[in-house]
Amino acid sequence: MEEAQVLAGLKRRKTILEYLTSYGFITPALIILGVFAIFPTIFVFYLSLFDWSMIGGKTFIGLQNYINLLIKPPYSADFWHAALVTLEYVALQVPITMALSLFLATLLMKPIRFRSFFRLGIFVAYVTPLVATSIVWEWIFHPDYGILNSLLKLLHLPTSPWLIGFPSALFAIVIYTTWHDLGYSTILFMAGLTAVSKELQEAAQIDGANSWGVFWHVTWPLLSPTTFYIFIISLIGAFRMFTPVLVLTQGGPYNSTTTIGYMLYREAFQYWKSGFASAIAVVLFGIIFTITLIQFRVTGRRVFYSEGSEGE
Amino acid sequence: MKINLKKSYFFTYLILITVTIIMVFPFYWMIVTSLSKPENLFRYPPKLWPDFQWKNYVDMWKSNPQGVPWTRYILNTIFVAVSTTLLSLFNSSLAGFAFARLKFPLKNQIFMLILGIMMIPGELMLIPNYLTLYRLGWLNSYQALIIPFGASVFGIFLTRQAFKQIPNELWEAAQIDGCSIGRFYFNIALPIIRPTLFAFALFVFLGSWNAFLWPLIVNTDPRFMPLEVALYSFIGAESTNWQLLAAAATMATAPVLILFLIFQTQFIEGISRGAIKG
Repeated sequence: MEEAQVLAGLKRRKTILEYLTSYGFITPALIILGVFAIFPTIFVFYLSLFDWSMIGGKTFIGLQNYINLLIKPPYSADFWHAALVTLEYVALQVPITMALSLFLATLLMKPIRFRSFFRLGIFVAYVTPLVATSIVWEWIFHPDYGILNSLLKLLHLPTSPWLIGFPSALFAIVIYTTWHDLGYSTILFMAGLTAVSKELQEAAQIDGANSWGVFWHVTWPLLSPTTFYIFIISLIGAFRMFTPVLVLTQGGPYNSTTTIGYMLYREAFQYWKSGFASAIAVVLFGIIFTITLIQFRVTGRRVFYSEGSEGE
Repeated sequence: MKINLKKSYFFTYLILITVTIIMVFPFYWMIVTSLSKPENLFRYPPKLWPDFQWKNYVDMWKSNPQGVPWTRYILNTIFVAVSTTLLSLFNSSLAGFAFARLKFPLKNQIFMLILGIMMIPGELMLIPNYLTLYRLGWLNSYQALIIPFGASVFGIFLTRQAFKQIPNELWEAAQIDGCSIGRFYFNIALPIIRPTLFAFALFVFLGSWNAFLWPLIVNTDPRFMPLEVALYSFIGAESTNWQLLAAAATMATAPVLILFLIFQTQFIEGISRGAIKG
């Protein structure tokens, strides 16, 4: 009887010790995530209700920032213009990147030699730093001496002012970001294609389907979860895009490359209108959250994308 | 069984070679520009091979952008990237271990809360985090670039998966031998999941090395700027000296390129794995 009590006591002590150790183990990570991820996510909603310029005093103005942003000119005009630019960018960049990367991934899945070499060449841009590679692209896009216009001239094609022209600047940004991120979606498509059953494809081929038929009737339907996943993360990435804008065009010319993300950065850290910028952040979050919800409804999988937000 | 083995892949090769050349060309062009004589840059048709004007690198190196030598920027970047990686590895794997192997109240609720963070875009946190750093007096410091990234949800998730793979027998045997939880984590579990830790470390290091927006906002004092931010101000200072800009860009890109070439398998596998498990 006594022995059992002692044993139970020992077990309880062990359990309590395990609880304490567990909390000790998760505390460092929880403090950092709490201070720099959970707290700001809540606090930004609070900040968006104030007229406030970072260091100065705060004045509570309720939803006025949102009214200014969405309804009342002149700011609402800026916002809707930025929203339109963002949509244009999304509508260009996402389909181009997806089509290209799917095409490249199917080519890379063929039994070819030097596959890893090609994959490496296509992927490498993704890991390189943004400002450094932007420098080269700015030089490639140079209206007078850039190699791109030289090439166009050589082929007797019309040249373009690229980054300093309207509407060419947005196209130039699309070219840059597509170049930088193409390898990422190609790798994801390759992972998806690997999972698609080889036997089914071969069976279809034996049944006399040509390669387009195999792709359209077998591969494409089986690949659709991957395609949808890549579509969603590309969509979210494109809606958030603005660091290339900051480096390559500063939103110009004539605000033709000012995306919502860039507007947020400008209002927050160049004009120091922190309350107003917080409202922009909340609206941008609303857009992305909606996309995530749709994705979640459709597939029940979470999309992880906050990793890498440090650099991009 | 392979079908169509004899089919020629001429067009496949043609397209892949063309695309690879286009994708890699900017790096080649970066190097060519960085080694060109300035007068050869403004030519038509352009000169496609370098002049091997190494002097450009010397000039770039001596330029001390914003009155700070490049050595300082490079050391800043290395110091921040290494510290962030070590800190994040430690904190994330500790938490990952607790979530994988230990029992404690509210475990699942806390884990779901942490996973929820992954769905929040960084832009949302930018302004409050700036304010936090301002209140802490951390603007223009190293900790501004290190501490906020000292734990990673992705890392917790990844290490948790890896720790779960460790057989239960090992854990029980260690307990019978009187091995404490801390010692089991450090001496047994961590070495077992080394490949996961290494892949995760690569991603953190790369993210820190390439970080731009956050350091641009929080460290306006050049003494605490990493390479990418220094490069950004260098564009403003040397706007038309493309050979110097390209030399600096090559210097900032080369370490990442080398690291990637050595560990490309880990990088690519890490991304594919994340996609499948995501």
